[in-house]
Amino acid sequence: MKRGIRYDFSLLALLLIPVGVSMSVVGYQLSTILKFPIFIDQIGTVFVSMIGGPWVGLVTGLMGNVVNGMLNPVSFAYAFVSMIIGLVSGFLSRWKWYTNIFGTIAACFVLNECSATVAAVVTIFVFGGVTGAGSDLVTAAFLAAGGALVQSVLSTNLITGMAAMIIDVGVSWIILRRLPDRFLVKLNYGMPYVRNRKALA
Amino acid sequence: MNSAIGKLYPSTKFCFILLVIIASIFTPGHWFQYAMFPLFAVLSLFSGTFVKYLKAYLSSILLIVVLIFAVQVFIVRYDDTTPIWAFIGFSQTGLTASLGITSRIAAICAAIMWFFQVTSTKDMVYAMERANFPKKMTFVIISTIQMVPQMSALSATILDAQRSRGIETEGSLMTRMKAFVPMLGPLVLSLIQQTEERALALQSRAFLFKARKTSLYQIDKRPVDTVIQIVCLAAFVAYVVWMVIA
Repeated sequence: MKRGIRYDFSLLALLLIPVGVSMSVVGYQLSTILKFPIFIDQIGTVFVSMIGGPWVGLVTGLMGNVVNGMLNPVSFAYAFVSMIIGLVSGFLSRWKWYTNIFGTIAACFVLNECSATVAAVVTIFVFGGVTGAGSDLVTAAFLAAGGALVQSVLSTNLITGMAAMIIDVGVSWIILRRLPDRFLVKLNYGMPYVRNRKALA
Repeated sequence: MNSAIGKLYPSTKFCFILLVIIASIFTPGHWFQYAMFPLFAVLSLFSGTFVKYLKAYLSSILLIVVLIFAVQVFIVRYDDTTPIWAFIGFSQTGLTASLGITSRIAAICAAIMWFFQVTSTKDMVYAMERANFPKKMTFVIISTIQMVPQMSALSATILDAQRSRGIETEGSLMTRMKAFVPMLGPLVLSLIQQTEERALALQSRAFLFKARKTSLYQIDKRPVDTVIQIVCLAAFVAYVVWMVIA
């Protein structure tokens, strides 16, 4: 199966993008209803990038933020964070990091680093360091303790992002294990997750 | 969408807000930017979305603006911070910085929110198709915007169904976390199944065929659209010239 930006946008992959965006939105609503302290809003991006690849994951992240941005334009600025999560996660899937538990845990760390860095850059350059979320209290605490703006925002994002990323990747991985083989073989990036390896040979 | 503004061609409204956004970013100072919200509030009055606009704008932007203001002025350390109490200090550069940032955020958000409230998705996608955007891109945009509210309603149904089967949604954090996968799992698996069927349905309706499709729904560019677009372009050129000279 050919992979790459020209081949990834098959009809099935295109139809996965709304699925990913809906998952992210529903994940956010569920975490609000179940009153979690962290927001699980990238779950769709991670899931679609695992089976659709980096470029489909990037578009999923972008569309998620565009849909949210229609109601709250602040989300447009954070589209870069979702896009980088989709892109990196897709490449990790291609390099077979998600096929075992150690790779999955390592992927959590890598994704958290990338998203925290990009989020910090966006927060500082566009919003001057705060965005109105609860994590601003953590940023303010760091600033009050004397830290510079960059370090404070970055540390905030790393800490609050880690728990969210573990849940995103963990739940995506659990659901991925439940997908039927006959669906995974139709996707460009689904081969590593097919269970019946004898049938493939 | 029934007002005169709602009936304008989408690219006209887009040109207008693009002009406003560029002007807001590059104009020095903050009075022009803060004036954008009243301007768009008045425009929303003419387009019949006044109450909706005010509610949406104030509930999302006000908190952010106040927070950025507070943190930049009182908490971030600049060279001229004069301490007032414990870690809170007042800084003049912080004040100018926060006025600049918050005014631009307020102006850009005012423009974008107004645009999405007066332009229906159907019009936007039709305009994009007419402008020869790739068909896959317009398909992704419209299917995402249509699917998200449907999926939220479906997830509410699944939530009730799982609750009636004994999944605990109240209690300790651990109990609530154990409810997450049973809520999301059925949603995703039913979506994946629908995806396969949807792919077949689209293929049987010649979705991937290269010829241009005739649309049952038509909107046309009227003279007033062309006039407004020319005015916006002229205003943009005048603005660039003014910024370069001054």
